[in-house]
Amino acid sequence: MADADAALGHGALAGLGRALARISADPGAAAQQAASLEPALSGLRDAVEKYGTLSVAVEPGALRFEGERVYADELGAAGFCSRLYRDGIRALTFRRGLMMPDLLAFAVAAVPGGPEGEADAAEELWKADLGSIQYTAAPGDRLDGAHPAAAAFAQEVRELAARASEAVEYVDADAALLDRTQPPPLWSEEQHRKNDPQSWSELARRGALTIERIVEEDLAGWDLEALEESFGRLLDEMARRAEVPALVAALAGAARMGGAHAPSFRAFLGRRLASAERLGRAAELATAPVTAAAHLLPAWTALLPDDAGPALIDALWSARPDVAPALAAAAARRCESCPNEVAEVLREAPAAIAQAALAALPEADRARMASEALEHADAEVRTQAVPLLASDPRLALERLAPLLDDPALRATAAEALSSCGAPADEAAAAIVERLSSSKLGDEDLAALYRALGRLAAPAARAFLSERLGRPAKGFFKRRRSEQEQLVAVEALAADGSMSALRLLEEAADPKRGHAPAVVSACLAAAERLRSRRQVREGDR
Amino acid sequence: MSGRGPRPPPPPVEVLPETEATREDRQQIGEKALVALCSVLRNARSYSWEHDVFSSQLDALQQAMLELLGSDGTFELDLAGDAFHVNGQPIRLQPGAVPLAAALRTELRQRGVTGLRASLAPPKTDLRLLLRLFRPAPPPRLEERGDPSRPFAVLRLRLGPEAASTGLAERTVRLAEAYAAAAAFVNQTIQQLRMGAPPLPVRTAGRIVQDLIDLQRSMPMRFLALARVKVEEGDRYWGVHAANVAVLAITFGSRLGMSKKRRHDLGMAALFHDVGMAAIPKTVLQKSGKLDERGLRAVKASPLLSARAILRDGEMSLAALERAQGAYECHLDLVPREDTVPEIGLTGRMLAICESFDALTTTRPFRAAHGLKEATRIMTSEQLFRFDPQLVDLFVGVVARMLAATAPAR
Repeated sequence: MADADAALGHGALAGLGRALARISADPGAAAQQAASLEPALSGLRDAVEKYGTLSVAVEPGALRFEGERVYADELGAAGFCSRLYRDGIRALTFRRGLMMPDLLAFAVAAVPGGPEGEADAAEELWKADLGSIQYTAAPGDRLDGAHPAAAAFAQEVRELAARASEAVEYVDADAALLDRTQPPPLWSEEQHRKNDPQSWSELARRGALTIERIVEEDLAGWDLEALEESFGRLLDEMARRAEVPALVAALAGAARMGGAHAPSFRAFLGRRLASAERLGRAAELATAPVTAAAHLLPAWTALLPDDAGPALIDALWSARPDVAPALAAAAARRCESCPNEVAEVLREAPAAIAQAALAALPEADRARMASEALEHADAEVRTQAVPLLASDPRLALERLAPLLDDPALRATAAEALSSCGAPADEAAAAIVERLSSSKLGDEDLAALYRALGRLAAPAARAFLSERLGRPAKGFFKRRRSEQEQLVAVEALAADGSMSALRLLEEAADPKRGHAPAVVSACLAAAERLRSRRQVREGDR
Repeated sequence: MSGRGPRPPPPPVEVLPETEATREDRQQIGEKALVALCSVLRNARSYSWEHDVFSSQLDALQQAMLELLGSDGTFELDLAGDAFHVNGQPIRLQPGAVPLAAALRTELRQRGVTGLRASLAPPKTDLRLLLRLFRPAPPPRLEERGDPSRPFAVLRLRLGPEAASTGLAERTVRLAEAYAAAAAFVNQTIQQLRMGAPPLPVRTAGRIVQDLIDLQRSMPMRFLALARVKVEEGDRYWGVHAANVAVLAITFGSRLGMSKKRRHDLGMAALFHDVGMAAIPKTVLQKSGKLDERGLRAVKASPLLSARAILRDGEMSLAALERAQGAYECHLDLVPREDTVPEIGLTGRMLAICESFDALTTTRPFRAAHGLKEATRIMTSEQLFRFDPQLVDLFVGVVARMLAATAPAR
């Protein structure tokens, strides 16, 4: 070949090498790849137009044309030449009719890390079936001599080939018969699309369920760890491809999976799902515009281990506001692993996040952690926190009593105090103190009296009895006192003890001179109490 | 015969001096002839050579040949390197025709044909016989007058040195070897799995299936005849069974018009569909009587064990998932159980049919082999609940019938 001709071939192949190297470094979209390949296509077309065909040898990390190296991979073993060589491709031949679609398909098959991952380049090229780009591959249908089964394999091939030859050579090569084997396809394109949708998402979902079934039926055996790893990779791939419904189905299946190995499988999975990168991706996917997205974080976080709190908190601060509450709830459920961080969320996070965390606090830490939320700026958060303190009587008494001075929280705090299980007299004393010293509105008054009644403590009854018996003085005060007497009646009814019943019966006596409304309320409450007690005694 | 007596000899053909105009005419007519030949070739894969679909293309080809015979006194089409020459002149092709011309070149080379010539007007029957040579399964031997069993009257082939044989013998050997490699691959994989040794590389199976698909395309009937290979129950049964299922599935996929890629997926799933048998004790597999409860449980678990053997590799491409799911789902019945209809992809539904067909036509420890007719009857009646009814009808009507036609002559 003349020097000028050789230079044309060199230039074309070197250009192709550079273009593929660029695509390797930054795969990008198909449009970008086409732009990268455009100059190479032009050079190759010129060369094949001139020579008819253009063949280049593939070496480990390089392309060789006419004995000279025309391109070397800068990426070394990670470059496309090494990949092609590794997969058995020894030469490439470009022919006339080379067009961009063929070159793009070639690039997809040749460049490492394509859409199908690290597939076999020779297989991908074979499947692409490119008319203008052909390849020569090393024989790949035999086992490497170093493989322990190579000798047995070769022996078996020899023996079976003899039997196969017998079956084939008896076939009558009748021409008409052979022709009938190539009529038009039985299915139209539309039938193929309908019957064979070729959806990775669907296959992946079913694949995940298959792994779950293997584990559930205790068939994993020695492969349990390998299957765990495969399942994890499957979830990663689903997340990478943003296949949210498949991801949710796989996670939900893992959560409900039974079998002896299910707990260890879930433990492995939980550790994997708790990585910062994966949690971040889950938070992103939870905002996808599909129905299943709403179920993603609950399904994902349900599998996380108890010590995943810090990771969840990290993800929470960088997540979108609409998905952060789900992460906050998951972190709160694991607050033992990150008490300070959850406390910070309860004190300072936006109201929706703090409320989600509050709602998810585990019982053991509920009161302690909820008390942190009392410092939150938002009244609704504080209001939601107050009842949660009731789960720890000592803490409740300590933190709730002062809240009786807070008009915004007074009623809720009183109710929480009445149900916290703290020593009733101490709780009653705290409430009585506020009732004696503060001027309260009707609603607060009713709430505090109701709380006192529910405590059923002697001190509470004494206070209620005293307020019930206090006569009204003056027109306006009389109305106020009557109101107070009525709530005291309700509180005594809530007390429900024999002492409370006696107090109500006494107050109903007309000789006491109470207003008719109060007398009627006392009679009704007493009747209610009596009938309730009768029912209780009847039950015994 | 007319009764007018012998015709006078034709006048000698006047050879015009070579001018730019005649070269241009030759270019145009030559291109027309080549394009017509390419179109014929394209359809020769889909229609019988006697089909009417070829009429217009053969007319065009004949017309071009006649024009060249009229102007140059001869028609000579030669393949020189990558170029086509007509009556000694290289013919330029429009860009759109280049891929077709490349295919024509490949087909001619595969048959050892380097040229085509005629010194008289070729009759239509010759052109039909020419097109017959482009069938996927060409005649075993070609001579100057084409297929010796159906020779041309006028046309003549120019044959290269390799044309004595069209490579049929070589391809038949390759076919037998590829099939044997498929069966041996499965047997050795099961063996390795039984021993807990490293499995055989999936890539090797991929190459074997590529070979099978390429060979199916060029010799579909001989390829399908491989499914007649049977071995008695023993260590080799599972490999031969898997290879047979691959042969049936690739043929079925080809008839449905599936892409090469999908046929590859099918072939791979077929090879791996029973590797789970490695986990089942040989005593259970070779038992001739009724299986006890333990044996039944083991056999019932085998589809999941096959899927396990594939999924443990951690490959999550579409092809790998097809392989795993096909191997598992092909053993599921289509009947709804516990109010859920099993989800079975096309690969699984096709393999279920091919797998059952091969199993029914093979002697097993617990029963003798059924004939092809009896097997298809069972599949379309007693076992119909296991299959996609539409697919099983197509299989029985097409693939099973083709297989029946490959029976050795009695």
